[in-house]
Amino acid sequence: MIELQDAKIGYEWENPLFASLNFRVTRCQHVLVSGPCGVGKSALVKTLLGLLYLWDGSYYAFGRDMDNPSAPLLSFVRKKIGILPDAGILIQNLTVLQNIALPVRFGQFDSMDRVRRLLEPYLDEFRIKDLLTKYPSELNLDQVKKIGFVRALINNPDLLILDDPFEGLDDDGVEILWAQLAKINDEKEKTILVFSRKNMENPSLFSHRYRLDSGGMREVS
Amino acid sequence: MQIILTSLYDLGLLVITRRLILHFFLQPIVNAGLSALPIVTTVALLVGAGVVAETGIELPKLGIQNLIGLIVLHIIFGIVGPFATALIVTARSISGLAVEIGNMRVSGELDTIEMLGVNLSHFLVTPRLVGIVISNIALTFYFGLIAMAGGFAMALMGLSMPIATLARMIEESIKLSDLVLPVIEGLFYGLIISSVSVYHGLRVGNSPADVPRETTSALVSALSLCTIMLSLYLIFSSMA
Repeated sequence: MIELQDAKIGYEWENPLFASLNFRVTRCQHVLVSGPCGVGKSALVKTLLGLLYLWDGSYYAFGRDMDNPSAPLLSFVRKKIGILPDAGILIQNLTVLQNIALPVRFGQFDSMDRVRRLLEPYLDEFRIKDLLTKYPSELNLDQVKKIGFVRALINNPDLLILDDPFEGLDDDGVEILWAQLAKINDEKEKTILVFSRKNMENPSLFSHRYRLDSGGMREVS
Repeated sequence: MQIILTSLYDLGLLVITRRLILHFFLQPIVNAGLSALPIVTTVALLVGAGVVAETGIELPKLGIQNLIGLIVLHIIFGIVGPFATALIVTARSISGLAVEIGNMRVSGELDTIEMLGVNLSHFLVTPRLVGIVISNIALTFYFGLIAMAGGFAMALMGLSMPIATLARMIEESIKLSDLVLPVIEGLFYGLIISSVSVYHGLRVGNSPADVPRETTSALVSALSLCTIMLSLYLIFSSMA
């Protein structure tokens, strides 16, 4: 599904975060990548989504070569990925409903009716029914993360990338998120890639676990 | 220039593919246009009154009172109206737009929008650019009409010339080009204002300190470019 080979990743060519990273995620794998703050997890996420280009090496996503990708290719890949970023999760001048609708309404230009239909199953499960007309500034971090997670799921993506999903969640939020991940795990249809600065309490959900540090990525048992 | 061309291409694409989400185009029009009406009205009334008072008193002294209508129309619709409107829109919209986009960059919202597979131009740039251009054209035309009303008010109060004389002179002088000109000028001023503010908003880096710096740069650039455009217009119109 995604494959990085000898990838040189970073914000600057002279000072890369990873000089030669090899990483592969195949269909229906549930992968956990943990590593300390500042090691380059978010840079890796941005690279996977085509926001940062590779300085060297190769990157294939959904069978497509992502070396110098065209705008349509980027759009194709991004629409197959559901993302919960670690920063700037919600757009401040949009309501919660508009934020959730963003990838469907502006990515695929579908109607708000379809957005509401897709959203329906998540409203009670994530307890966000009363939040739809609110703006992000009225929400706490827990609610913001939940809404970001719903938005990542709403498009029924092939690959779900969660960047530090548990950071800032209260116990209730953690429970809901684990339950949702367990549900996805049971369905065995989606590929999940979770980046976390902490070691997970429930590692059994993940088929593969990696440790990311300045030396690169290594699989841990 | 790239921002303008990309936005025009994306606008065409959105219209052709019937993917235009009207709400996102109306919001910038309301922000930049409708909410500017009070200040534009005030300035236009004062400018119109001033122009008519000045021409009504000074031109007869030079013996060219027959040119009053022509000169009033040219000044209000061709020179002062479009430029003053552009200054008002610049003052009101540039800082707001540059700060909005700049803050979105700093907070990571722009990255999020892109990662969600949403075209930044479709969602953010094109609606704002089109909104400001439409607002500026409409406000320029509105400025001209209100300025004429201010001029007539000045004449009505007997501070320059009889209102009937002013009305007759303007009726004799008015041409279709006098009404088309503010639309064209408003279009160009609008393109300058919107593209400069979007450009500087997108230039913001990851530091919050970049936001005020780029906002100031946007204001200075837009004012400079609008002044250059006015100068070019005056030079070329005098040559024509």
